[in-house]
Amino acid sequence: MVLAVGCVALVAFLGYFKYMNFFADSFCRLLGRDTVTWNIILPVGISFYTFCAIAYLIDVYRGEYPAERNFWYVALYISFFPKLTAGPIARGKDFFPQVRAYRGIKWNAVHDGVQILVIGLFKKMVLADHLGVFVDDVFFCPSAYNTGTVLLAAVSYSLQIYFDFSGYSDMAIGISKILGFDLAPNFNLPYLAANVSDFWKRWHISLSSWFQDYLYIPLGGSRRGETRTYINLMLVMLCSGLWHGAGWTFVVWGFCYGILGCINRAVGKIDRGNRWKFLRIVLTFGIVTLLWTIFRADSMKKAAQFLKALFSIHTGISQPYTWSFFAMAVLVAGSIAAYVKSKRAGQNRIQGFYPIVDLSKCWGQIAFFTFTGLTIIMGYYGDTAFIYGNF
Amino acid sequence: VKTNRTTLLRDKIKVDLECGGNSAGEERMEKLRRIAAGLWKLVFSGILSLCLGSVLMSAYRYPGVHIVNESGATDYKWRPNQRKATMIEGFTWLRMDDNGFNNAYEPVGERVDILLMGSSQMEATTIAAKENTGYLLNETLPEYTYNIGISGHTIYTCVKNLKAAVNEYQPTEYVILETASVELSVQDMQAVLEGTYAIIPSHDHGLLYILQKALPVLQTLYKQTRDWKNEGIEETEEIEQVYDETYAAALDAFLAKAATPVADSGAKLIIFYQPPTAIDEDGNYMDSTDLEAKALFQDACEENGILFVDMTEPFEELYNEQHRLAHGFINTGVGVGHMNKYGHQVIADTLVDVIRTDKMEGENSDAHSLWVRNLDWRDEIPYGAGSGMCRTCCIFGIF
Repeated sequence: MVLAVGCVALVAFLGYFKYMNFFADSFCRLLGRDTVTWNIILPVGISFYTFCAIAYLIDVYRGEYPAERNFWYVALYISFFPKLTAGPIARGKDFFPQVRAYRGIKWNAVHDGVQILVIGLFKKMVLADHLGVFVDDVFFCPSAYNTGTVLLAAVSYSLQIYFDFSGYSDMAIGISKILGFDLAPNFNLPYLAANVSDFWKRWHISLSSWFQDYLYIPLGGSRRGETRTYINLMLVMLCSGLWHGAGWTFVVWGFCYGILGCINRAVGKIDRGNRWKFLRIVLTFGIVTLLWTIFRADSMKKAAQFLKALFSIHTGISQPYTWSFFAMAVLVAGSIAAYVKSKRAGQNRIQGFYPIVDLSKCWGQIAFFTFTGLTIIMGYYGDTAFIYGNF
Repeated sequence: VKTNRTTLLRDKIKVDLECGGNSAGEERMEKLRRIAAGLWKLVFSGILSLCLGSVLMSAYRYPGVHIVNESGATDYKWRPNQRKATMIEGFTWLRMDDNGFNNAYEPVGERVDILLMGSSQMEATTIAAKENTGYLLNETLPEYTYNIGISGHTIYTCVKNLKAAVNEYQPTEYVILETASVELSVQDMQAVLEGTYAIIPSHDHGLLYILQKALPVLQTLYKQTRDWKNEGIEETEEIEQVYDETYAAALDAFLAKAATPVADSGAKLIIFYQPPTAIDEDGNYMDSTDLEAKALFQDACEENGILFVDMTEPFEELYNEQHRLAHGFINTGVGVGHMNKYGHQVIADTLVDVIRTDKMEGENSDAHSLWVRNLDWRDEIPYGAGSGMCRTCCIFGIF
């Protein structure tokens, strides 16, 4: 009963602040009435801390850990500032033991944390924000650009959203580390995924695992027959879409992933091994990129305009944006480094890593200072917010 | 933990007693030595990183060091033969001339026929030296053009310095002045007229000068920090300009101040307006200029015998025919920032047309009036592709 009341209350809060206008607008349109808009200010990070709170309630109900008696510990778990705006969605079972065993700020953790923080800043300020300039231009008026430029903008948005969100996650992880807390990684080279299911295991891992643990499995997961599994998959992806934003573009985006998830499940039983893996990675990246364009568009009309511009050969402004190629080079270099490192470590699955240097050594300090300086110098200081900060 | 601490303390006291208390001092000294070594390493690494950063900056972004221009033709100029690097807006490496201005064209003699003035748009450090308006004019016209366009020199600063510039270079044919706005501020125009308009300062001596010269990375770090600090600050709300009689009178006096020294030297003043370029949501070229302000500016130019050249239509034509915008680069936003090589080419072509036709017409003031009248964008002259007229004929109303 307590669980039900708690979850309903939390979802109601989220629904009111985030979805009220969307549902009211859609309802009015359906009835052919004039749209009504309430002036509701969306609290920053509401989707993230609501999910943290729901996870806590369900975990306690399931008996995964006892209810925390210290109010401040729970408050800290829900509102821990590095992860407040855009996650990762930490789990209580990982967080509470760290709070209880807290021993203060340690040099070793600061050593690593500060470097992870700067890596996050580089991803956000240097790569994502510069890419945003180009992406915003092309998405504003796709028909003004030639086909190649529209394609480059689509790829650039894939890179932008990755560097923006993973950059934020890195900053959150880095700051938490400096303060003496460990947060789980939120990304693991998502664009090396060989299918869409694999992509969701690598992208926004904390959200994917949340949906799996608190929605997919309670719905029955894959235990209640094939049809029910497909329905569950569709439901989870629709909810995931809606979680990202209150708009039809997000619903369609989630729906497409639901369909793709079902297709992947249907054909995924065929063991392909490593055959054509590279092509499958490219194909998955293409699909993900295509779906990001719907996600990015301000409305379905804009999404249609963009897709039309993408799939029709036409002339227009040519803008071979150099930051896009630079970002691609960084992504490819990082992926190759991760591949080599994973192979050397004998891991089958490629794992991402942070290139941490030894700051007690002179060369390590020089490398760190130079990288930090370059991040400041090459950073973009325009009006840019974290993309996932809107959710 | 308590037991361990007690044991450690006991052992320490025992050792101290045995060594007569020396080990504690040595330990402290050792600790201090380690801290000093760590700090030294930190400072050394910091300095080395700054040097490494400066080497990188000399290729990535180095605007150079500017010094006061004693002649007053501009508020400042670059150091003679100053090297510059820009990879944040276009990709350019340049060297200024002996006088600290961007002129790659070798002059034939001492004489300056056309003096080109303006802001960073005319200084053009974001494009190759042989792609800017000044160079292109020299390539096309027999007259020698000298470009003293320099960053931050808006129409206010240029008009303030015009007399000194004419005295310094004594142009025989034309003075061409670039403006990015025709919506001027009465307050700034008054300041120019009263001689109180602020001069752009130069840090050409002391520590700041040395630091700028020796460590280019500091300049960029300073700029980025300033941009970051200004990021959240909203621009002060602009007071809506009223184009009333006061405005018209101030504008007239302001342009008269510009025209007088040029006319006294026997040359002609050309002011060309290069408007901001943008496209709307439907992909159409967007003209955001206030038409009332432009009309007033054009009328004031006509009254003061200034040739006014509006680049709106040539820029629009560039977009409609070639899908190119006059501003922006492949590493910046589309249509924003400085003019690219296409913008400079269009300006040079238009100016060449204007100058050739003006020379053809001679010094007949009626011709000027006719020219200005027919150049009027409000008359909707059928101009451009399909009209069967070349741009010059169209501009000058030659049917």
